[in-house]
Amino acid sequence: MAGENGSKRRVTLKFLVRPYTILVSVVAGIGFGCLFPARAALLEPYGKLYLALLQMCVLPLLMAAVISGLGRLLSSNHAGKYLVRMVLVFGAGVILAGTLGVLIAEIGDLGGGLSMKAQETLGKILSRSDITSGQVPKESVGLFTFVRMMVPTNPFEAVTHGRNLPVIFFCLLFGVALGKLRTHGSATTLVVIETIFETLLRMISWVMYGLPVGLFCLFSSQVALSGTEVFLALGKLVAGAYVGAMVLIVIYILAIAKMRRMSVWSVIRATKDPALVALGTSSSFASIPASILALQERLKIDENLSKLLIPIGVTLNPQGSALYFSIASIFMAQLFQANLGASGLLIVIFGSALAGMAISGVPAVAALSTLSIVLDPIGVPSAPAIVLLLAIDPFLDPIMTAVNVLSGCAATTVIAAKDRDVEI
Amino acid sequence: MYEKDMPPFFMRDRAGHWFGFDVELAQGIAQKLGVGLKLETDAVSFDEVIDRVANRKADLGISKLSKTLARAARVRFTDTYATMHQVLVVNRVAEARFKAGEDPWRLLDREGVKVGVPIASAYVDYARRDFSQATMKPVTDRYALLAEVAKGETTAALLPEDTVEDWLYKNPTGGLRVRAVTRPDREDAYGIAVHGSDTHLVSWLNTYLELGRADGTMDRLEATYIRDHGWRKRQ
Repeated sequence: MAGENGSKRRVTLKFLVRPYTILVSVVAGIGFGCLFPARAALLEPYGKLYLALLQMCVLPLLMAAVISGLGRLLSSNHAGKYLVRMVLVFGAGVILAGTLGVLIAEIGDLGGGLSMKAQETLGKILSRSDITSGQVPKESVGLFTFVRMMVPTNPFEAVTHGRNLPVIFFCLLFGVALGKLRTHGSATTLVVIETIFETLLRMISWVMYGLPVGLFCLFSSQVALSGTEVFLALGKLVAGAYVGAMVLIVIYILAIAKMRRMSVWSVIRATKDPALVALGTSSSFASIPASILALQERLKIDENLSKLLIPIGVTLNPQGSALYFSIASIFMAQLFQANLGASGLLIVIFGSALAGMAISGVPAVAALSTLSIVLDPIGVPSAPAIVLLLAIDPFLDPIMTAVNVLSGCAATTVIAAKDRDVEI
Repeated sequence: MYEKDMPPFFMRDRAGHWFGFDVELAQGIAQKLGVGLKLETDAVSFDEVIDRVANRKADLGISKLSKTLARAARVRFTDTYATMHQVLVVNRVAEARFKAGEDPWRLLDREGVKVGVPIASAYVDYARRDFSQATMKPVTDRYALLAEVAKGETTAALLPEDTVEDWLYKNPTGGLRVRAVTRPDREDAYGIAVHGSDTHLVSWLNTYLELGRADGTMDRLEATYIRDHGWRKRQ
């Protein structure tokens, strides 16, 4: 009897994390939000509670993952090779994403030829914003500011305030130092940190059983609160962004399938969990545990490589953000009729990559402000661009986060590709 | 009164009858004075309204007249009965080419920048004060000026906030092309113009305005024409 009950519980729990269950909850959430917006809006606190549960373990897990992963990597003889591959793969990835965004926006002429109704809607939004704020645009975020943001004056203060970029930077240095120490104490410390990491993973796996309900609440309340008017006015931008996202996701799946010699369907099944968490939470950091699990258990990537590269990739390989920024920049240039030459397009590609790295883990308002890195040099007004993009952020953030997360999985697979039998 | 519609202060309804804040104010004053009201709505500029009062071709000037020192040297003004703000309307793309984060009120005060202003209005004086280095471009048609700024043919325009709000209402796509920047310290105070020797009339009008504030008459006018926009249905 006890065995039967245990078996039934396991079946129920597995059902909760099946892809069809998740898909049904997402579709049901969107439908509920469209049909019953007033009631759906009431679910927002529950969705945010679930998000908080997911995010609760992210920062300690991120620290444990980076320190133990880098520590193990550096205590082996393969460190230099992986670091070089990491720089090449991450760098090429964000530039590819930025280039794709520029191509889609230019070929599709996303910002040109908007209907009069769409232009009126956008004009009214901007006029209202000018009246309510009356503020001049904030100072743009330059390269030096970005670098300065990475270095914490007090790592404990950075942890307390959830500033992920400086936390990662500190953990990278700590992991390097720990890996280079090579004493009995440092080996023990690494074991302790790895145990903490596994404990946190177990906690998160319990939270994942609540995913269908959490996603239902998150999607339904977002649809209810966002409305559809501005979505329709910026429909071409949204469509272009989704096309770019789908192209990149297909590239990632094919790359992983080739590297791991698996079928496409197997890769989709293997990466569904991190993709769904990304879609539901719009948080790359919240997806880290699911990504690491997927790489280790289903794609059989070395544990230490995945623990190291996934958190770093969230910051340094944000291909979804680079894609979004490049498409949005070209769209805004077309909308405001600012002509870009070849140099302007190059600024967009590289600027989008840089801006994407600067916004990891940052809330939407602050993240979109970073778009000024790209728009100011090309003479496109950044303040109104930010106002308009904020309005459609709830529709684009989930898919771009999914691209960020899957790009991390694909990049890690590529970096680990030739060393299937090497243990770190 | 100035000859063109200046919503919400004076404008024509579908039947061609004048209505608005200033029109109702004038009607209230005439009623209290026990006289009839004749609106002369053919002045080609605001300065011409001042000229007519100064030359006794009109008893009163109630035409959203901005109180400036130059005008005060020619006519007497009552206490302020309404206050609007000066608005700098800037082409968004032109503004983006300047240094990001700079206040456009300071930014555009440089050579080579064209700032449009309504001709023979107080805004010529306002623009000379704030944009002494820019090139002034006086225009007769405010709405055509705003269209030029939207196209980028003129960098910016300095106009009253009611004019800008009305243009944006009638041209919602304008918000894509231009940014309206208001400075709280740049007010545009309106007064009733009276001939310089009519001291008793000025005193009476000030008393009328004061009592109107106390009994809610002025507040009702503000609610009807400035805070609410239901009057648009009459146009």
